[in-house]
Amino acid sequence: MFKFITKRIFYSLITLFLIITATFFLIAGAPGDPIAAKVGQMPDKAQEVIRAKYGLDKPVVERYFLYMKNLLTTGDFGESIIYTGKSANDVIKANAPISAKIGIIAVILQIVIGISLGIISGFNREKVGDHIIRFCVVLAICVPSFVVAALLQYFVAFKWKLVPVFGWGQLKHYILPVTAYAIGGIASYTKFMRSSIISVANEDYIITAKAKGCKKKRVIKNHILRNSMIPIITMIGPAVAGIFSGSFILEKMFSIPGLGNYYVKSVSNGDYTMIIGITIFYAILYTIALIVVDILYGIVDPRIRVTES
Amino acid sequence: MNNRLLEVKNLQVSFNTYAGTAQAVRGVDFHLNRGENLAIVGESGCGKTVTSKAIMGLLPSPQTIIGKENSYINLEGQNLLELDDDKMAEIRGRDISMIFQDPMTSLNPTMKIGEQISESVFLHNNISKEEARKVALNMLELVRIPNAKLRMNQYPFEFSGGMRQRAMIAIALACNPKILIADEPTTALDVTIQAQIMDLISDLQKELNMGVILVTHDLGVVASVSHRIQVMYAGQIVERGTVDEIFYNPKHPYTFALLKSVPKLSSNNKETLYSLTGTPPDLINPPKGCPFAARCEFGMKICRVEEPKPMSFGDTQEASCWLHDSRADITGVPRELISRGETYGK
Repeated sequence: MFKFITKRIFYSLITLFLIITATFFLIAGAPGDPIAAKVGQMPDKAQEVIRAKYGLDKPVVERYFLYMKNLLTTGDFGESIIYTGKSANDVIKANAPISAKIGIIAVILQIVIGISLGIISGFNREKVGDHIIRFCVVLAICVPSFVVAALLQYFVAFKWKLVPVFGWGQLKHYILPVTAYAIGGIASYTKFMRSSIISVANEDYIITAKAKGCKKKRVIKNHILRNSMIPIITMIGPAVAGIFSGSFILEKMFSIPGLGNYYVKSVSNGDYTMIIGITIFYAILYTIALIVVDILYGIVDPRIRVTES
Repeated sequence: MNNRLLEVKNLQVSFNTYAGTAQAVRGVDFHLNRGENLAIVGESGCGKTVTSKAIMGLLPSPQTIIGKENSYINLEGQNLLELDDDKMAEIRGRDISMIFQDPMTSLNPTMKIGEQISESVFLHNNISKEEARKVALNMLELVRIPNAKLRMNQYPFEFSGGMRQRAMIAIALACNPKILIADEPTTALDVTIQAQIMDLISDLQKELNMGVILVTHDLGVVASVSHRIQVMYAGQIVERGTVDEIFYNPKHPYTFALLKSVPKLSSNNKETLYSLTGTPPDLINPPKGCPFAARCEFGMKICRVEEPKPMSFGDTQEASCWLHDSRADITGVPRELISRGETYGK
């Protein structure tokens, strides 16, 4: 197991290196000049000074090596071009936790509610409850989260005045964005869990379990549930990575000072230190999530578990 | 009478399908004695598996209709058709066990073999998990799996096909059942492993004095291990008898055709292998008369009009075929097939 994890971490580092390199050159090659956008009115001399400050006067390859050296030795993503004086690290530190708070709550809700509904639906196939759940699932998957958010804001916040329309800081501010964020995921987990349960329930080994005298409850608990979790775990990895990235549309709609908002702004301004910094941050989270999923897989499915020898 | 372990009377099973109601089993009677090996043979779709699953109570509940009027499945005097789900679960694995066709898919992939065997021991006996594991270990040794201690902690994917079927047998026999139903236990295995598994089943049968119902379409397998054979066709039993009777004196043209289609080592290898043409009848609309009439070489007018009654040929053999009626024209019918019996129930 230890060998497996070290190997996975090693591969992840290579992946990260490639992502950083690719992002760096892509952004460097992209049209647009962040300095010009920021200080367009300044005299050329002054612009050159600023360019030199960010190292933009040097050739791309040299900049790349400087950036990598700086990143590897200090872990610094560099100072933002638009937000003078703030490094990308500061922005991530200040805003990622806000996105994460909403994300973690939403993802937990998605997994818990989604899997539970899937189990209810799967074991009561073609009964009234199943039909109601499936109808809602289709609806929830089809409607985008920002439409859900707008509807929630209009009815729950504006018409019924149950919670504030937007804002940040108190518990009541969480309710709408978390709901809007979670609904789509709940629907997909429900859908996948249901079909997974139905297919596992038709497996030959379930008949074997019944043939040896397991009663219905035991068949479900000992034989169906674990096996039907296997395909669901694949979905959890990307969902966990998505916790920090948040949804920039929802963050905008609810005025939440999360990271998603900054990411989009930095892209439109060509703020390359921020873009690369946040990209690396997401990439790290994503690779960690994938390693965790691989480990989870091994726990649930012995066929995937790596042999000790 | 005390020797009777299982008695099935007028078993009728039908399935609701989109096309209509398929009558998979249409009035099957048979019995099984203690320590006896009964083979049910017939081609695919003739109701063998449905019959055995009906005994186990394992047919999917909403789609299946099991006729309860004038019918019973008596296990030592207890009618299994009248038991509810929970009662039936207690009987399964303890009194009647079943092994299945495909050992590759019949074991839970995420559960250790030892656990899968000890689960049924634990369920049916009032013992601790530790003791159940000991029984499971003994079972693995009994089904001749080498290195049983190590194998207990392995998963099915670490077992070969033959080993998995042995593990299945261990699960089935863990509670010392009175009856073992083996539903084509060797179909998915290669020939050498087939022989090993059949030997194992018949050895254990003698050792544990079980009744075995062997469901198969392979007459070669049956010849060496079974005592009695019943031949099923289109949800009915068309002929039954001892192994010798069926192999040397088949009375039903269907049995005759089945025997003819077994390849023989002694025959000239340039001969074309005999095969029975046609397919079994549609069980949603079963034909009038004898279900085999359409495919029968010796079919007569009466065969398509009226269903033949079972006729007895001595104490143990029985066949339902009009050829054995005194009025039948038997010119051209092979000698083995002719010899007239007495009609039952007249």
